[in-house]
Amino acid sequence: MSPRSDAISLFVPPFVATAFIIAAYNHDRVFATVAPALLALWLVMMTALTVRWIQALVAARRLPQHASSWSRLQVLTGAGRTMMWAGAGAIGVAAVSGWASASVLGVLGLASVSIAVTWTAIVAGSERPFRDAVIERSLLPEQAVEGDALREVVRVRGLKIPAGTRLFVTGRAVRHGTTSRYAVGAEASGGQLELESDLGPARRGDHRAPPLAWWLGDVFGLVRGPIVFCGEASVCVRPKPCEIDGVKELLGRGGDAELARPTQHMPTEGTFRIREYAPGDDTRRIHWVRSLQANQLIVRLPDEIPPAEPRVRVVLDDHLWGAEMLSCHGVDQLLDSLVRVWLGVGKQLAEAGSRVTMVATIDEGNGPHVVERPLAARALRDAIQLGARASWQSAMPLAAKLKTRGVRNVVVSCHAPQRVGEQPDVTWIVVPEWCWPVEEPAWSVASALALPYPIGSGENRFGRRRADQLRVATMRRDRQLLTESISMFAGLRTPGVFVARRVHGRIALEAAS
Amino acid sequence: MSPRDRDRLAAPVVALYWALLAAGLVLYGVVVSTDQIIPLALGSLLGSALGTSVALRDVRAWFVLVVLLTVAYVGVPLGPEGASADHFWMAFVPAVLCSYASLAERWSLAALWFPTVVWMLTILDRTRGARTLDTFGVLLFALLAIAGLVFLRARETRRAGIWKRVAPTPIAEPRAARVEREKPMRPLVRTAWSIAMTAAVFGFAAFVAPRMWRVEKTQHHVPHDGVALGIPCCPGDDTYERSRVREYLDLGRGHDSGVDTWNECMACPSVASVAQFVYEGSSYAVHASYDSDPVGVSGDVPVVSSHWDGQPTTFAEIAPPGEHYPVEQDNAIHDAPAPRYASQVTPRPVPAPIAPAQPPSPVPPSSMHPPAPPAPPAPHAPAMVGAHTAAMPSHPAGDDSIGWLRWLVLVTGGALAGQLLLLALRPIRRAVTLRHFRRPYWDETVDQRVSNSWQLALVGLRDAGWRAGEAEQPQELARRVDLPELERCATILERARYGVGLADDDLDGMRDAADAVYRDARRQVGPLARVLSWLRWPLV
Repeated sequence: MSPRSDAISLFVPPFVATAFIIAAYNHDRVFATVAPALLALWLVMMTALTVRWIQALVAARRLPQHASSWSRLQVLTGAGRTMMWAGAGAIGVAAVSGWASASVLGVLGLASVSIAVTWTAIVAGSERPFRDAVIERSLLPEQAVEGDALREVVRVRGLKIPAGTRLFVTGRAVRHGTTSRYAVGAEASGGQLELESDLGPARRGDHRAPPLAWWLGDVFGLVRGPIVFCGEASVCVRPKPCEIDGVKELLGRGGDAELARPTQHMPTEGTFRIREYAPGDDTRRIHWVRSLQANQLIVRLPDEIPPAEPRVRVVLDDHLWGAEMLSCHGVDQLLDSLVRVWLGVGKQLAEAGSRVTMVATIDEGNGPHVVERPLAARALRDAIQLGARASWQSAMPLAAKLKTRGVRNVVVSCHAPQRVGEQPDVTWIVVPEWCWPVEEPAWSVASALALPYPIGSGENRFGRRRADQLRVATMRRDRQLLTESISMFAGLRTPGVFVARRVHGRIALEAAS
Repeated sequence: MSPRDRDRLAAPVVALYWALLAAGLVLYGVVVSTDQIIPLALGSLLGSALGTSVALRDVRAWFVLVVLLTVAYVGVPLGPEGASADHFWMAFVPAVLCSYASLAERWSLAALWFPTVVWMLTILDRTRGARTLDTFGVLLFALLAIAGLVFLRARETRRAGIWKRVAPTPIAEPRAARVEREKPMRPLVRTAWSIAMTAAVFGFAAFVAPRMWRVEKTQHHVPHDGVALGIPCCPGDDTYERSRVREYLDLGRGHDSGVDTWNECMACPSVASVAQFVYEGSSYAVHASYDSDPVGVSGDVPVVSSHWDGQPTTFAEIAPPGEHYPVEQDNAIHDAPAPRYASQVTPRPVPAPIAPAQPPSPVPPSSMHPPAPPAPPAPHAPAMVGAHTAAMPSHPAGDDSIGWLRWLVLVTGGALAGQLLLLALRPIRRAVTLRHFRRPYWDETVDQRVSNSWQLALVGLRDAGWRAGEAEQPQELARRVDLPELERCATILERARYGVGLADDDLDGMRDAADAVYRDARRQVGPLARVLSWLRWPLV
């Protein structure tokens, strides 16, 4: 709600009520007692607000980033505004009809709002209650894997929650994630408080959670204090590589890495493969430590090395112009799917004996730059961390990430194959749109008879419903834009293009040609 | 949000609204009158049930209005006519709307209107047509203000609960907020704030609102049956004036009781002035013309036809002899213009009570009969000339209500005394419990004695504001609370819990450590908090 409507609700209703009283009781001593009493109450309220406004004005001059002083007048909630107007209306009804109950309710309403505003302006009208507070927010587990249950824990010490007020906290940890909301009474004032909520399955990414919004509201729901933002947090959710069938097809029909051969250098070599001793084995290969542990003779087998070690660069094509401006869920889910396929391909290529280098673009605050991480079959950590930090960018085109000589490039992309630079040896894996589940919000057609949310919820307000419909419309439009921008069908029949399809929970690479 | 959560959040608000309404109806029935309670209660309860039901099913407001208009459109013409039907519909319609608004988001003040109307019937009844409240009225007014604030608070608690669970975007599942440590004096501060807030709102409302009340006068045309009314029959205008504080519902003894100007002039043969006099069993229906003359706005006022059931006759029938209408206590409204009739004559008290009158002959309601010729005055009743202030008998319901009030006061006082007694017994309970924790009154197992000592430590920690979580392990609590002996307590307790085995001196060590924790924790707070901790229950 705008400050103007708040100011109108603060200024106008008491004068409307007074005007009714003057008009109806102008020959009576009622005019001499009731009207001054109402005005005195209003003056006390406005004095408290004015003091807070001046304080905020001084603070805003000293600190330009300080919130506008006019926000200090934004104190009434929707219920408070309605009660202010309803109180004035009830006094009007009492003046016109003379009903005693209307006068009682009118005075009760105006007095409640005025006293609540005065009290809240005095005890919670500034950031002072939060000044000495120690707020620690953490998203657990700090190193999560995609799909893990994520929790938010907020520990608060020394926060003053004055009597008659409640603490409200809200915020969102990750983009398109769940919103956490807390409401705590004054019993936790000055003590130690722990707030916790389940955020649901973690989504891939190196998330920097924006600060939570904190404010104090009175226990009658009429008034609230200024909003304070604090409590940042971060969490790194690592992607989970998916199992992919048909990866060996990526290396071509030459079978570069199809057969492995054992190492024959030294009889004592070999670490990863052991078995029980069999008559005829070379006794020099007995693994004495394991034999003692197993109480039987164990021999080590020579490790295997692929006959060829093709160098493969698995490149994540995270270049999508305008993707960061799209508000739909699909754009994030598309990147998550790309990263899962990208990691899965790299892992399985490494397990097949290729020397794999994972290539992606990350932005550390100074613009996107290309990062390469070698991937070993049993050392995925660096590559997974890289995948966790991958995000859409529009500054670094795909050509900048491809090497043209002596290395095979496998590009995991959502685009149709495109011409890049000098046409290096590129194999394309296209992750089509149907590879990831669609989770865009659906149109909510509100019933004509029933409210969309439980009665008493602020979400039933016309303005909020309209804003929500606008949000859904924007997301669906962005989804349409995304679909159009990644239209891939024209190039799918190009040789060397593989399409990643979801088959029974796994991803299968199928040659498009 | 699941339907169960929704109903659980709505339950306190619905319960409070219904309690407020039911209390108002009961008060009206007990204190004022039982004659009009049936249509009023029926309309109120049925309307509230309908409003609450549709609100709990999240029905939109426009549909409620349509249903209400339809019910009224069909029900009013088809239903019975008369004052009772009017009262029923006058209660039913706002009851539906207000009970619906009680669960809506913003209309808390509108939701309070109908319960306030019901309460005001009783409160105004005690004003006797004045803008001042008697003691009982002040008490009821204070209760109404407290109930209103509690209602607002319950609504806000529900709104916050819904806010935590409902949004267009997905909401995280919240776990219960855990207060690990609180300031021991906070409950006292919160209680003081609640009392101060309630007192401020009530004080302001009690000061301002009654000054806006309007007192209206009534001119009743009464039958010329002096014998039936037990009032001397005298010539002249057959009207008398009464005053009342105006209210939405045209009910209540406040309309015509108390310190009234009874400008009674029994023009016995004046047939033309009698509008209708119907005797129905034990009650009369007198069509009266209400001269709505707001105080301070004289002249140009509408005359409203209204109903007034039975009370004049009831007055007359059971008026105790010897009670007289006060002479110079006209409405106790000092800023009102002098009653037009009272100013014309010299008021004088009625010297003698009227003999109990014979009830008038029953007349079928559907027929109108001109009043019988006036009966001759009773031999002991002197003739009255012109208007005068007549003796006002006590209201019969008021007589009953005094007894009820006495009982109400007794019950309320007893309940308060009981609570005070329980409060006074808390230190004794605590002392007995702590004594048992330290030295059991009966033989207990070693494990139980270890547990008792742990409870003693927890009591001391709770006195200092430390709260142990339900799932918090003793060692976790010991790490959180920086008291050296608590870790020893936790170690021994966990050994006892998991059957690891206790050493010989563990029991004594546990007892000493728990005592030390109890003392050290309580040293962290001030003397007032230590004193207040003796009043806390439960102990942990």
